[in-house]
Amino acid sequence: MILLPAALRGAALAAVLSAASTVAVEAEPPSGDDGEPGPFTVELSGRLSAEGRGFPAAPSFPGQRSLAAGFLASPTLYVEHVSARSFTLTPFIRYDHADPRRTHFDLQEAYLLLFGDAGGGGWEARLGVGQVFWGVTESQRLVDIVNQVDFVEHPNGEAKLGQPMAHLTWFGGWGTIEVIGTSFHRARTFPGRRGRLRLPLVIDDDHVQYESSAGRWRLDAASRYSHNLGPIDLGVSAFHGTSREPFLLPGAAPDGEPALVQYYGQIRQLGLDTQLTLGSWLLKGEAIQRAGAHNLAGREQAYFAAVAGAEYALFAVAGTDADLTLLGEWSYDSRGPYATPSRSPNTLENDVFLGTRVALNDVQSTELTASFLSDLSRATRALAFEFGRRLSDRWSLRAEAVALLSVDEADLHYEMRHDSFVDMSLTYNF
Amino acid sequence: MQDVREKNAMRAVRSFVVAVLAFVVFAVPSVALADGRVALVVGNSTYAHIGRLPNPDNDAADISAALRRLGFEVTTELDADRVELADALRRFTRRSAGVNAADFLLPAGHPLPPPDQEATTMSVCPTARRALAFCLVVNAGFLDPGPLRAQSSTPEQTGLRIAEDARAREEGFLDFTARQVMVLRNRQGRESRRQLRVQVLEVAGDGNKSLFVFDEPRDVQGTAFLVHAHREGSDDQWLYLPALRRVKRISSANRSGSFMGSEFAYEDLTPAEVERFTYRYLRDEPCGALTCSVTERVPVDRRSNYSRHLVWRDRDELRVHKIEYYDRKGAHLKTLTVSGYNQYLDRYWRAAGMTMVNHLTGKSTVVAWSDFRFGTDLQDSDFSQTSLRRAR
Repeated sequence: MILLPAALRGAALAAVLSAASTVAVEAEPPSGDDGEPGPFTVELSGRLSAEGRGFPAAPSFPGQRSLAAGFLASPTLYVEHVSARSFTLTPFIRYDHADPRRTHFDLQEAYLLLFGDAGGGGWEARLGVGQVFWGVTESQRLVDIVNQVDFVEHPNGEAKLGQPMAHLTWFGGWGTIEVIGTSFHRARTFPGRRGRLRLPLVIDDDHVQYESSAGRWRLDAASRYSHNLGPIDLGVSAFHGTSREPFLLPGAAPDGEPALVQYYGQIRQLGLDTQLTLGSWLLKGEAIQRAGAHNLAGREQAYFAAVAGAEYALFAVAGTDADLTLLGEWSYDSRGPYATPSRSPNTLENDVFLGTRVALNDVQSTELTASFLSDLSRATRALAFEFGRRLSDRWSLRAEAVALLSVDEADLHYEMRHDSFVDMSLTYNF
Repeated sequence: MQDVREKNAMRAVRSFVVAVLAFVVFAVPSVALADGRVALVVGNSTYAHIGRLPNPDNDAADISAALRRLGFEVTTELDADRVELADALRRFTRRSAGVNAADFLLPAGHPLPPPDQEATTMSVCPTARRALAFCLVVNAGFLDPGPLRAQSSTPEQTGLRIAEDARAREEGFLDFTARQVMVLRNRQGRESRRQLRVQVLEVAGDGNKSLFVFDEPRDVQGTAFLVHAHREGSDDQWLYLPALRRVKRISSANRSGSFMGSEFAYEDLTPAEVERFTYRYLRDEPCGALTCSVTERVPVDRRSNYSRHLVWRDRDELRVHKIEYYDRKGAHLKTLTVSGYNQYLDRYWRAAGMTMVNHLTGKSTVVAWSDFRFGTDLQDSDFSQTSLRRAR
């Protein structure tokens, strides 16, 4: 009952904001008197969404809400100068009716981009707040370490927070080298007392602890070399600095209530990612070796983790335009039962992921995905469905259902076992 | 020893002069078929082993003047080194039709380099010979197909030659950018729009590199698609997903699937590399005011959705005017009609309109091309995975 009006309010707001954006786009940049384009190009784009999330099962803790409605706005302002320079600004605002901690603002991007040619190849510099994606697999992201996870956005850990950094890239026939320096460490976002998908104790995000005496200001370094050798893509990466994965310590919230405190240690990580593209087959693998991290028992333990799998695509199935993709991946963590959850609440120490994606290739780009995650050494199983469809040139619809079929008592997210949910969002794209 | 070399060189220069004169005499009639008359005159006076010769410069100047009097636009290259010469040849090929280049290179390439000439000028020779062999085919086959048939060339050979000639005419464009608006129409007439920007880079001896960036529909705005096409073997394809800031290498096995819900399959949009088909010339017939050769081509790739295409190319410029697509059962599935050709850089033809009609579903897709720009100085580095991330 709460859901629908809120969604409509969000849509109305979307319409108002979009009208404002049209005005902004029409405000052309300064141009020459002769009608020639000026040195600057300005573009405004982005999305506005109204979202509703429902949790069918009764909550585990008092005060938790079963319905959450809200909206998000994520516009991008892009200013390009003729001299191969541009500035990108992407703020992000989420309003959540149920959980004040899910209501949040983030600067996703605010960077200056410079690029040029260098000796048969090129270079690129991104200075400011940005996002970096590394890796190839679908069920988890092992080597993708630069950005913090925006966990309140989605428990799958795919959403990221903007990270202040200097990101330099050189490339040529010999491959691509990226060097990244980051500072101003971002703490992971977690649901509040009224939110679902949380632990019995709320995570206090006002008192984040760091191993480094420089705290969040420590300079962290990441680098990656990647190359394509015919059908083989290869990436080797390294990271030295403040972990993006918090270790949760018992503590107290400012009001004296028991709470968990995020602790970020210093880690060193080597990563490898590879993909083999052979016709309809994609074979993928990622592996990391990490030192300096705490295991689930709170002791420092170096470990190795890997994910490997395959993707097979069937195109134009049964005479239709639809494509069907089948996916299978297996995750491993050498710490076994002492493995910590890295991005999503589930630990992936010996888990198998099976998925299928159907793209109808119709005018509306209708897409359906279904995936199943099963822990091979514990009784944890989850099922997820996702549906996406464009309604018009501007509007699109997304629906999702995540069913936690069973959660093993030994798993950290055992307390989230009643938090299966359905989620719907209506988006205005501009 | 010195004398002999000098005599050799003098003989070479004389035969060079004779050759160029022969070019003037023989080439004028066929050059006259082209709109502009262009000539490249090369004179080499400085040789490594025989010192400086005065005559080539003088002869080249005389010939240039004579050609100008005949109405030619003349470029004279004196003592050009390998790079300069290659550059001059490239510019010349670009300005002239391939046919004229052959007429020039036929006599010039043959007697020019004496055996003791240094390597830099020798390098003209293989260039010229290749062009000769290549362009002679253009000459005989394209301008006057009659005698060729009399020489009992098979329909397969004629079909292949038309495809090769069409490719030869495309060579040397280097790069271009353009905009594309696709309107998808269903049987009830309901429309949906796609808008994208395209950048293409020519790759010598291989398929082109292309970059597509979507502007509409807005939910896929900023999505970019990079293709490194190959004449043989699979293409390399990458997709940039702006929401995740992710560059994803994707399978290029998708030949028959629809591109963004349109009536164009991926295989209709990727360049029809000569090696990807076998050919059979069928007939000549009128197409509008022009005469078209109709060729049947059969995809080599078994994953193709088609058993064959029928391709209509006009005899004058080898531009595609129509393609009929037949499915695996032999049924006439789709028809592409191409219209509104404009010529760029005095050589390269690009169509402003393409319409694909699906005869089974009644749906159609109309593509309007605009803002073609050539010579945009795109580099290999603009078609890398790093630049894909910033394509928008």
